[in-house]
Amino acid sequence: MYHLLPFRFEPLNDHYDILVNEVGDYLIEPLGTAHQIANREINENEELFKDLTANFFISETKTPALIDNLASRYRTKKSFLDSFTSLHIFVLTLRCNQNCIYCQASSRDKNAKQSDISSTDLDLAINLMFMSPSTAITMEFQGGEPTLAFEKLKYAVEKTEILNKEFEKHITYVLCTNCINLTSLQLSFLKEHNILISTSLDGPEFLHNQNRGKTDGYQNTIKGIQNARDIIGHDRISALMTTSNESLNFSKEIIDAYLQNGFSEIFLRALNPYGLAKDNIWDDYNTCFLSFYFKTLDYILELNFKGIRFVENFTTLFLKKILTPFCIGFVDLQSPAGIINSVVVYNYDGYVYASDESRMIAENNDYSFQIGHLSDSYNDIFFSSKVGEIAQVWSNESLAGCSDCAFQAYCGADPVRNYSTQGDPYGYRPKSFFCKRNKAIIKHLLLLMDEHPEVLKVFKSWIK
Amino acid sequence: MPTNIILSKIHNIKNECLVHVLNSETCYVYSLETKKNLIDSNNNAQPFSFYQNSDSQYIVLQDFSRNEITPGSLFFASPKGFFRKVFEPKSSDNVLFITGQCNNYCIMCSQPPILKNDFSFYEKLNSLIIQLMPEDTLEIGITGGEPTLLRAKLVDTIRDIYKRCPNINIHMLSNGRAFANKKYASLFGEFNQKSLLMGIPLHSDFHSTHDFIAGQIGSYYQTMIGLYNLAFFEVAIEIRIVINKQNFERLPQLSSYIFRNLPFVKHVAFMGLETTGLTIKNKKSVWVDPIEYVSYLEKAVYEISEWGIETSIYNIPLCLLKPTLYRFSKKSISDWKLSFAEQCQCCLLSEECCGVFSTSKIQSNNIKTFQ
Repeated sequence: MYHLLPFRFEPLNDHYDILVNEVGDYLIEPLGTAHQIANREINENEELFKDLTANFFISETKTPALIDNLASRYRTKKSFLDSFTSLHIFVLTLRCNQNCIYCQASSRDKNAKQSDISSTDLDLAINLMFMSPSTAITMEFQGGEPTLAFEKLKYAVEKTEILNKEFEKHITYVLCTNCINLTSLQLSFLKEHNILISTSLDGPEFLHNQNRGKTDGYQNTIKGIQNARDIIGHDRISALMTTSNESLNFSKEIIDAYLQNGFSEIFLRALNPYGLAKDNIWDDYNTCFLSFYFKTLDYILELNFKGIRFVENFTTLFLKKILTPFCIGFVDLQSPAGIINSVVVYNYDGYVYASDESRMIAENNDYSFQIGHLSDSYNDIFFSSKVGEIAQVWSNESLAGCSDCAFQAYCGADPVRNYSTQGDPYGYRPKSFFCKRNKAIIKHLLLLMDEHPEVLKVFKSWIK
Repeated sequence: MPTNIILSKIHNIKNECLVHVLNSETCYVYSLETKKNLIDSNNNAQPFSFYQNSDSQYIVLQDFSRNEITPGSLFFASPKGFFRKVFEPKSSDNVLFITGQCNNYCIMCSQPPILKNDFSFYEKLNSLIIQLMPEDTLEIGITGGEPTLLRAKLVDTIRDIYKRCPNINIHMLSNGRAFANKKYASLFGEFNQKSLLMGIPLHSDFHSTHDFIAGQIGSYYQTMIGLYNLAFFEVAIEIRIVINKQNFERLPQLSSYIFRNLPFVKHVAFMGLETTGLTIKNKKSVWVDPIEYVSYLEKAVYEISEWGIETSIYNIPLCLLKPTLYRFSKKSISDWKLSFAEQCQCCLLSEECCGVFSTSKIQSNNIKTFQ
């Protein structure tokens, strides 16, 4: 007889059960296996008994002899919590020079200077950032288009560098820009201060321009990327794509455009229900996004089989959670949630938000995830009663529909998304697209790897 | 006059001693007990000539047989006429043997443990070796038996090695059980910035299989806890897997287990059997021809190496491996144990091959010649 350790399970398809232990190790076994395990029907001579015992699904003693090892592994999986907020987003301005059809940040006309962060607020934000206990900080500049307020960026970086002589944190600077406005002088500054660029590229010219609402957007962006690479270095600039309704039919074209432009990775990002993007018809889009994702992933895998190394980063995030004993620093797939624990936003309006998405819903006059003003004290912001309320709903382990989900270890909690799509930060899993999408992707990946060893091999190479 | 002189025997010495060869003609002889040079009573180091005549009080030179003498080599000699090389300066196979005792009784042990308390003898021998070995020695092993049975004094030994040879790589072999005691493991944290690599066998991911192979119930748990404690103190770890009849079928699972539970290890070595010692006695439950397990081995090697963990195969000749595994195969057999089979004499790959153990009493029937 054996004892059960905490593990979660569900049918993976018509033939197999998936069993996942407390630290994300999984077994794919014939349908009904979970039932047999629970009924103590597994004989100790079976290989399955050895698998289950070695991998902390069952124990011959009430407390497993290696429970401290299991605890170490659990700590490792949750180690993104060790140092608290590490990603500090500075929204320098809401002004923008593009007109994206899915704009998630509700950007303003490029001359509307009242949409810039004030110097006083910028100082306060930098001070708050240095209050974070995290020794490794990412300082990310967003907008709007932050290069339209380049003087602010320059000031912020230089001030941070001076202050950091005292704090000695490891700081990574990231500028999120469409690259269109970047001058050589600005690029020299980026190079001099070791600032990374994260840009947007939606795919081929017709698609990019359609999404961005400009006829010369693509040309300008590609030119900007090239200039940036020449000055700050090829590997210092990465690109994100956003899957608009139009994008859904162009898997191959999008990947080919990335390859042609010298990128060896992509992040297939679904539209988020924030800002202007909220008016989409969600159910249709969501279903189509899944088939788009699967199709695109197939195409990317084909490229890899041909020896062309190309990585899909959204997949890689799941794979790291599924296949490795480590955790990831991606705020959308964490439990406790990434908001506040890993990310905070200092907005141009002088307020502090729990996440990027939180400041986006604030543009629709909903301040549910505004957690304070830049002039408030660190403790008043990060340990406010509002944050306490959010904390009640930010852990999968204690949310209905998540607490017993087989894929809990691979997923994350997202109260802001629950709130914006369902009106309630707790969320209702049976109707949550976040849940449906992540489950579908995780199942898809598990089956792909199980049935095709060559896919597993490619996936492992992406994680390294 | 031969350039290499062969010592085969020392007669008429009253104490156990260590012979330190200076060059092809001279040597010092040290008493193990006093660490003093035996030749000169005032302890003025006087080189001793090999070419003293054969009724010398100390050394008789006999036939020129296998052992070549290189300057710097060390030989142990006992009054009973026991004579053995214990250090060879050019070799990377030198070891300090800590004890013949062990708290495991592995079914495939090539050097079955002894019961005699031999700590003080080896302590004396090892401290002399450390004192006399060249300061630029690059590699040394620490082995047994189970070295940790020496408890805290083992840490002193390692400290002495680093004092003598600051740039040396130390490769210690242990069953890891002693490190289940966190306080003991912490003592080895002292060396975590140095080049100490701890080689620890993990026979299976399943406790009963590991315990059966180690001959000790509970050893799996102690070893696993020990591995975590060593990792906590950032000691570099190598996992050694001796492939035998009991564990070959779960090698892929073991690899996957190692990555998920022991991702901090620096190296994983899959090792063929040396068929001597207890392997012979336990032949039925131990011996398996590599041909039978090579598919499991292939899966296991790729599973772990694809995660970027350095992976090697030891002691299995290339003709018993799949070509996909050749790049993991290392020349692993110590010079003095290395031999080649009859089929190897005109084999095209014999240069790259690890060969076989001269000490092995069972060889695979599938050894063949590449032509």
